[in-house]
Formats: sequence, C-alpha cells, structure tokens
Amino acid sequence: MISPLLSWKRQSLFRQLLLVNCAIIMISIVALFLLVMVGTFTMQKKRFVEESLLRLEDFAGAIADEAVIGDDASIEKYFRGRISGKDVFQVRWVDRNGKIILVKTEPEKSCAPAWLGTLTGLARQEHSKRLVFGGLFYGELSTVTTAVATTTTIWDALLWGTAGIVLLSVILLVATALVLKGNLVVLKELTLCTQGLVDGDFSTRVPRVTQPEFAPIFKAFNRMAATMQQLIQRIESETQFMQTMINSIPDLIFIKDKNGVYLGCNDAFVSKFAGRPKEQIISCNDFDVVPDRALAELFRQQDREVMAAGSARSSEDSITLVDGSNALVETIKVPFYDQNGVVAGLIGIARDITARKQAEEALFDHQQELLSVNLTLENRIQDEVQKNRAKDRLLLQQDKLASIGQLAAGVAHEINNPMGYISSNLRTLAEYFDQLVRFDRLWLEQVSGELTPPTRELVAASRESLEIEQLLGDGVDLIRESLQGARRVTKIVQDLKSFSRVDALVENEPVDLSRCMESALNICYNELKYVAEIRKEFAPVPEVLCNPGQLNQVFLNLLVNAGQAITRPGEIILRCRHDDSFVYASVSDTGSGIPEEIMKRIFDPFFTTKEVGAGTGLGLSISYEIIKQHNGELLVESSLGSGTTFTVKLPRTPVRPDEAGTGTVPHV
Amino acid sequence: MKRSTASVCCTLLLLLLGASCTFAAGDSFTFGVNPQRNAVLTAQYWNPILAYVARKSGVRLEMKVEKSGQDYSVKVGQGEYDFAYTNHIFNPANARVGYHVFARPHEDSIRGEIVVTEGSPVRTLEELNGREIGFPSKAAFVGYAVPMDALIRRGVTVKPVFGGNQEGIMAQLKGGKVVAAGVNSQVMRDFAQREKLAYRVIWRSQEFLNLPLVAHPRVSAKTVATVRKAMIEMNTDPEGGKILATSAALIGQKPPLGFEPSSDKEYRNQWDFYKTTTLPEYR
Repeated sequence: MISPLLSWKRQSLFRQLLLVNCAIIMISIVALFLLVMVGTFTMQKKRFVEESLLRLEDFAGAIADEAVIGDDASIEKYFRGRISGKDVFQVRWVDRNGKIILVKTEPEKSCAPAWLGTLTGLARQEHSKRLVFGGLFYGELSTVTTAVATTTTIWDALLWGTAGIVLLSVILLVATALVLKGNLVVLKELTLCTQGLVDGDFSTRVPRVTQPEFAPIFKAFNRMAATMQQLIQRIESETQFMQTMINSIPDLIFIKDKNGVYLGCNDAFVSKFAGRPKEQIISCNDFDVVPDRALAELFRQQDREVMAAGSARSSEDSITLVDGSNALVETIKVPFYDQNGVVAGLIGIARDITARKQAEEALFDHQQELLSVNLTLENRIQDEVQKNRAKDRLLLQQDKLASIGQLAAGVAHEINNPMGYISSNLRTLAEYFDQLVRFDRLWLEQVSGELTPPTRELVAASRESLEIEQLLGDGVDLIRESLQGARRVTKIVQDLKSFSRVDALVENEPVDLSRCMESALNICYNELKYVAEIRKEFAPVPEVLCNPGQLNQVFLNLLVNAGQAITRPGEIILRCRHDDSFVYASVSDTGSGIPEEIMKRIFDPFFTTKEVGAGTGLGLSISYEIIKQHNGELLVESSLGSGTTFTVKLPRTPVRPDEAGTGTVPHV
Repeated sequence: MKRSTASVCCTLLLLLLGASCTFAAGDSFTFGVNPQRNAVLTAQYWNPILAYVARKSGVRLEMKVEKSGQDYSVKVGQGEYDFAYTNHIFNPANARVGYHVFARPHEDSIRGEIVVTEGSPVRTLEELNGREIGFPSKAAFVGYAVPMDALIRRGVTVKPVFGGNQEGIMAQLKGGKVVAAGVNSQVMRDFAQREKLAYRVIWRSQEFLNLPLVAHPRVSAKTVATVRKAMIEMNTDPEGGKILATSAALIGQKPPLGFEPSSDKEYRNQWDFYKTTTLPEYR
C-alpha cells in the first residue's frame, strides 16, 4: 500500500504544481469570497443598523416638536406616511402619559431564504429612543426595520459569487495549467540537456529563455556545461598526455589492486612483456599474465610485501620477454592509497637493465685497462717532465744569449762612436803623414843642397838620430795598418750590432740572406780561416721578411758547427739560391759527416757530440726553433766522411713569426 | 358691617385655603412659552429652568408650546396658560384676559427689525414694496406688528408670509425663501450667531423691553411671588446660574442672563403701540 505522501511524491511536477495551484487558488478564492461575504454581511449589517438608527433619529427629530407640543395626531400621521414593507414596517410611540400610537405593516418577502436574513441579521432590527428635552421625558419611540433589498442583493451576490468562483477557478486552472505547461516545457528542455550532460555530451546547451525565473538557471547551466566541457577536455587532454607519456616510457609500467589484479599498464608492458592486448591484461593477475608460475608467484610475493610494508621496494628479476630473450629488470613497486588512507594497490615500474649491467661489466674491464695505461702514462709523463725541464733550461740559455747579444750591442754602440773619429783621424793622419813624407822628400831634394855643411850635417845627424827615414817609412805602414784595423773593428762592431738583434721583440724586416751569412761569417771568420777555406756561392736572392738577428745566430751556429766538424783543412761553402716559393741558404762543410744513428737527435736540446765544455748542445736546437718560427725548415744532409750541409729554407713571402704554425721536423 | 367683614374674611380664608390646598396639593401650572423657536429648542431651553423653579419654589410648571405663534396667541387670548412668557398679552384682544407682568429677563431691550441677508441688494424699505416679506406670525409683536406698522406708515405694501415663529421665518430668510423678514432683534442676533448667518438690518424700531413673564389672574399672588422669587434668585444661585448658562448656550443667548422683577408699568410703550398702530387687525 502506497502512502498518500509517497504517492504524492511520485506525481509529476506538473501535476503537483497544478494540484497545489488549484488547491491554493480554490482555497484563496473561497477564502476571499467568504471574507468578502463576511465583510459584506458585516458592513451591510452595520449599515443596516446605522440606517435603522438614522431612520429612528429621523423619526424622532420629525416628531420632536409634535412630541413636545403633544400633537399625537400629527405624530400618527407622520408615521403612516413613513413606514413601508421595505424598511421600517412598524413604529410605536408611547407618550409620557402612556398613550400608545402603533403603526405597522407587513414586511416584504425577500427571494432570499429566511436563514440568510437571520444569519446576517438583516431580517429584523428593532431600535427605540427616549425623547427627553430639557430633562423632561416626552415619550419613547420604537421602530422595527428590515433590509429586504439588501438581503436580496446579498443572496444574489452569493449566487453570482459562487458561480463566479466556479468560473474563475476553471479559468485560473486552465491558465495555470497553460502557464505551468509552458514553463515545464522549458524545464523539460533543461532536463534533456542535463541528461545530455549525464550521457557525456558536454557540448549540449539549453536555449535562451525569457522567463526571469529560468533565465539565470539556464544561463548558469550553460556556464556550468561550458565549464564542464572545458574541464573534461582538459582532463582528457591531460589524461591523453599522461597516457602518451606513460606509453612513451620504455620501462614496463603497471598498476595492480590490492589483490594483485592488473588495473592498467603501458604499451611497453604489453609489447615487451605481456604479449597480449591491454584488455586481456586488465582484470587479470600475474598467473594469467606471466607464463612462468614460479615468476608469477615471486611477483605475487613481492606485491604482498610492498603493500604490507606500505613503502616502495625494488628488486632485480630475470624475466623472459615477448621476443624470447631474457632480460634483467629492476622493478620498483610503490603502494598507493585510497581516500581512507588504506593501501589500495601498487604501481610498478620495471626497467630493463641488461645493457646497463653489461656496460657496467665492460666498464670494469676498462677500468682495469685504464689502471695499466695510467702506469704507462705516468712514466711517459715523467719523461715529458724531464724534457720540459730541458726545454726550460734551453729557454733560459736563449735568454742568456739574448742578454749577451744586448750586452754586445751596447758595447758595440759604445765602441762605434770612438771608432768613428779614430778612423776619421787615422785617414786625416794618413793624409797629413803623406804630405809630410812628400815635404820631407821635397825638402831633401830641393833644400838640403842649399844648406851649409854644418847645418847639413846637423840636420843629417838629427835625422839619423831621430830615425826620421825609418819613422816616415814605418809611419805610413803603421797608419795604413791602423786604418785597416779600425775598419776591421768597425765591421766587427756592425756585425755585433746585427747579431745583437736576436730577441723576438725586434720587428721583422726584409733581409738579404747572403748579407746575413756575410755578417755571421765576419764574426767567426778568425776561427774558421785557420781550419777551412771559405767559399761563397751567392746567387742573387729576393729578400725575405725575417728577424735578421735570429738568422745571424742560425748562420753563426751553422758556421761554427761546420768549422768544428772539419778536422783537417777543408772547405766551407756558403750558398744562396731561390726558387718560386722559397729562398735557400746553406752551409756545407767537408767534415766527417753525421752518423745515421744520431741524425734523429741532432735537433734535440742539449744533444751534443762534442767534448764536455766544448758545446752546450743547444745550437742546432735553437736554430731549428728559430727557423720553425719563421715558418721555414732547417734541412740537413750528411754523408759520413764527406761532410754535411745544413740548409735554411724560408718562404719568399714568409708569414709573421707570431702567426706561424707548428713546423714539422724535416726529413733529410 | 361685621357680617360683611366676616364674609370677606371667610372669603379670603376660603381663597387662602383654596390656594393653600391647591399649592399643597402640588398641582402643576401651565407655562406657555411664546413660540419664538421650535418646540424642541424651546423645551430644551425652558424645561431645566422650570424644573429648577419647581425645585426651589415647590411650584411645578409645565411648559406648553404651540405649533405657531398664532395658535399660541389664541391660547393666550383664551387664558389657557397659568404663566406665560409672552408679549401677546398687550394686544387689545388678549389684554382682556388680565395677564399681568411679574418679571422679565435680564436681557437688553429688543427692537423690531426688518433684515435681509448680507448679500441682498435690498437697501431700503421702499425696495420691498410689493414683495413677499416674512414674519413669525401675526401675533408677533416686534416681529410683525411693529415692522408692519412701520411699513404701512411708510406706504410700503408687502405680502406677508408667516413662518410660525421667530426662528421659523429666520430659517426661511437664510434659505432665500423670503427677501426680508420682520424679526425680534435679540432672537435674530442669537439665531444668526448660532446658525452663522450674516444679515443686514434695513429698518429698526424703537426699543422695547424683552418678553415679560406674566401670570394669569387666577394664579394666587403667593404662587406668583414664589415663582418670581425663585426665578429672580436663579441668577445668583450657582445651580440656577449654571442652568441659565446651559440654556442660553443652546440658543446663543448673550448675558446678562436670569430674570428680574417687573410690572405692567414697564411695558407701557407696548400697550401704547396697540393704541396707535395702523395695523388694520388691531384697529
């Protein structure tokens, strides 16, 4: 049995609203009608009473004078002219003497039922009034009235009102039904759109409505739908992104519930491990997915441990992949919790570490190799350190040489000036002495014969004692030799100045290599001239851009080495030539030559074949470095017993020394 | 002589006894009021005064009014009332009854006036010639006899219309039913004040004393004296003064209130008027 309330709740909103509206309307109309009728009754009764009292007052006023005068005939006449069946139907006057005048008639019959007149009090109203004027009682007037017309009007109003209520109720019901129907159509639209949302159609929108009650709801619904659509799109996008991201991870990712049943996995899990569609993995357990029952049991055991511990754990397991290969995977399993904080399952990430393991092993081997290599390297480094130290000493020696060169240049500069006026004075002195000799000869020839003998003898004795003849004869030679010596000193000084420009700070300048070789030769000529014959074969060569001081040092080294290589009288040949690209300057000797075994080390610093103290072993090394800095080459050709030729090969358009690249050790 | 003396004494005794018996028996005396106003207002005015007099004097006075001044005048002429408040006793027809004045109101003298409403174009009596003029009744002294006499003497012929009493014709004047009215100056003043009526007097008579209180010859002198005493002392008695004030307020009467002794002598000019009037009904 359905209770009325439950039955009411199962009614449609339309019916509920309609019934409620009908009930409210009916009750309201009836209540209003009753209220109006009661009000009307009350008002009519009040009015009736007031009119009755007014009529009584009118009667009293009208008969007052007659009452005072005592004119009963006029009073009765007045009453008779005033009563009727419609209102006042009975009047009674009792004067102060007790005389009664009663005038009455029958009230008219009303079409209204008698109960209405009784109920409303309109059927009969009796009022009386005592007439007292100046404190003297003149009589009592009584009237009995009825409101036939009013009762009839009220009855008609009741009938018409009831009919109106019925008619109005019907109209209101119909109007309410129509209005509700119209509004419920709108609500139905909202219901359909809501159902659309429920079904996942988030693009659904309700149409615009004009009802002020529904317009905000519909607008809010559309905003809500739009917001939901945006949220769903965002969630789908994020889900898609997450799914794509998870699927793009090469690791095997899976999710299980607390019973070990798979809730999801990524593509790598499907393609590499499970080998079945994702739909056949979800809702399955390890025994369904993993063919190896022992491995499945292991996984199950691990899962239980992780969920019991409530914390992440990792393990390394060997599994068989879909392609049949075995892989070592490192699996991290992390539990996740439901809203109540209870472990609801776990998330697992398995990474194939087979390659990494292999790489680790290879790395171990490499480490061992590296240890041995390190030992070798340490030895080589020690060698290199020693070489560097030798280089440092070489550089130190270079600095010393440069200092010596600067010192020599300073000395040469100081010598050059006195040598200037010495040479000048000597030339002037030679001219004077020549003039003196010619005068002496002229005097002997032209004047001595004219002298007196004593004077002649005295002069002869003086010339003899003073060794004038010898003096004049040797003086010319002495001056000539002194002049030659002075020129020699000047030359040497110039060469020293030229040699002094050995530092790298000196700007490069166009240099004729044959002149450089001449300068070097001048320096060491005194040493060479006793061991070898110097021969020059200088062809015209173009100037090259170089540091002349440094090249002088190179050629000096080569000449000194050549001189030292010649053990018996021999020959040193200086040559200059050129081709389209290079200018060549060579120093050849007819010495013992260089043995093959030491040929490769001749440019090493401090390598020397000379006796201790005879050489530093730096000459060729420095020369090699200088030529390399000039982007050139220092070539050597040697033949045991025949001699050696060192050739300086410089480009015709040499680059600046500071821009020169690394040279290569030339092969002879 | 003795016999006649004795008879006179017996007669006097009988008269005294009769009067005493009458007085002692508490018989009421009629008090006819000149209908200057309607009956109810008259009753409201006079009944408290008469009740007071009855309490003070022991003489019960029953107020009587008539429908019109004419009826009242007839009753006066018939000697209907024991006491009366009227001046109808001075016309020759009623003078024969023998009513005599014993008191009069404290009020100022009255005049007969012919009045029009304030807005009326009528300025002179001559303008009333041939027109309907209102009067209280033919019995009214200052309301009819005096002004009518003046009209006749001025040669103005009017058509008299009667309102029954003073205020009756004043109401008609106020309602525009008559262009002018002959009135008692004092009643007119009180009426106009009470009814807020603006009026203008186009003719005014000489002064006359207000209506007197008169007694029929049949009323004993003692009764008259008792009544007169109560009435003239009313003004000085707090209770009586209060009643007078209340009654005066009803009709708009101005002080001085109350009554004072009077006699026929003071009303000589009214007696004389009727002797010289040109009114045909009194000639």
